[in-house]
Amino acid sequence: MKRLAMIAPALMLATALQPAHAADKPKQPVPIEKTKLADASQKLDPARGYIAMSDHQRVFGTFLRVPDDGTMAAYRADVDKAMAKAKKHYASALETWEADVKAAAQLKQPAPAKPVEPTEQTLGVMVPELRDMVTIGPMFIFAKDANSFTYLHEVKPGTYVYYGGLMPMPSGALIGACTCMGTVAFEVKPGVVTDLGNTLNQQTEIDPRTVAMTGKPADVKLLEKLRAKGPTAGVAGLPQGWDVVPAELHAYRKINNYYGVFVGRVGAIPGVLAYHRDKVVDARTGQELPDPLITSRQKPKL
Amino acid sequence: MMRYYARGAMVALALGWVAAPVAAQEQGGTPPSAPVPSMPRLDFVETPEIAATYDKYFYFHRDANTLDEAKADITECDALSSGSSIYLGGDQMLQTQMIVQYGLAGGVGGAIGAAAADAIFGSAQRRAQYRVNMRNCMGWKGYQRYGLSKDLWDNFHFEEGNGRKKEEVRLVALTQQAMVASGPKPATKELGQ
Repeated sequence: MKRLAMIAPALMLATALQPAHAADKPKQPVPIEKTKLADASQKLDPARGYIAMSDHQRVFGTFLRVPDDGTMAAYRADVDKAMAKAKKHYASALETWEADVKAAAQLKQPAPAKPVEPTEQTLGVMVPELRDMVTIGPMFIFAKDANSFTYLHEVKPGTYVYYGGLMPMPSGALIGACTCMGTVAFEVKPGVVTDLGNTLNQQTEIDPRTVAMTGKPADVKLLEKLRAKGPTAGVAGLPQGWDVVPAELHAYRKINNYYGVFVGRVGAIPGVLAYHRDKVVDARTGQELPDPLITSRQKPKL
Repeated sequence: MMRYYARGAMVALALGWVAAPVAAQEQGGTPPSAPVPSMPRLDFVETPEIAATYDKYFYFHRDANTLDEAKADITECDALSSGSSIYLGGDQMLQTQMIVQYGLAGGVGGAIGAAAADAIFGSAQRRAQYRVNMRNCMGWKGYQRYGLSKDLWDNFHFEEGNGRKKEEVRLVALTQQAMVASGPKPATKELGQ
């Protein structure tokens, strides 16, 4: 803590000296394309993070970003705004209800249900855990050859969690299977490429029934054949100045099934992730990770 | 502030040791408390026709289990498994998100198409997805699966192909499932995950 106290003032000064500019407008994650690097319409941004993923065929994966102070501040601002609006509606709904109750009493009819007071959970504000979610693939390949397909995606630096092979639909739903019952997280530092290779696809547990319902039963054999082809790594064809580091995976706890999809998990990875039955174990320390409160995405019918 | 934390703290956050910022969106309301339900009947005479339906009609049991542990396990698995979004356009929060991002067309168009598909195809698929998720979740928790005749199964289970059952109905059923899951070891054959 003493060291932190010494570093903090220097860092605060450095931040204060940065000009306030268009970085205030949040940048969206974007796939990096080789042709765009070639004509300089895309370039390495030292303030942005880069995630690389590859495999022997087209793949895709969805990642959550662990909330930081900025995420929480944005969340609280959204909650305050929504709550102010909801409270106004509630106040007028309450007035209407009181009048309706009086009218019902006069007509000797049952009183209508009282309006429910808004709470933070009923406002419909996106939870912090889902903000900055990003899906990489299956489109917008960065590089491909006879043996592998590689993706390169620009993101906000931070800690990312693998949420599973989930594909977003135009309607806003995700389809596929989440790694809700155990997964991995990795840090994405600014200015370098964090390379996942095909580790995530190799390590996610294959459930034949889930595969049958999200694809075809025969896909299980195809998945096993794919895995037998072994690891892929690196990003071919990056220009000078792009550094690639392998992702350092850490065990991560269970996550809610926010999108009502099939439930899966990343399989045990020696030295990283283990399980005591369903309890997720950080194999780096041997500690069981505490489960979060898992709740249904459905509203209860009281 | 997060930026100034040492790397160790960043990893700690990633490992879920800071519970508050990542609390899930809890559902409002408290279900009414129910009287202690009765232990369901599990004995029946197996026929080939009944055995052919064990993919749909089964229950879970684990040795050396307590009622509280079983309740916690079944509640967690049910929470992960319920509310399948197969063919649906996602829940209200996501619809709002889509409308904000893509304009009204993004939300409404998606909702209409998806709702139509869902009305035609959704119910059976939703029930099947629930079963797959329950089998995997309970399986990873170390539970064995046992077959049951449909009429006995109906006494303490629910199916939600088209909307959530009332909370008090669910509470009784899940409690009875937990009683069975922590009760006497079944004499019938283990079916595997």
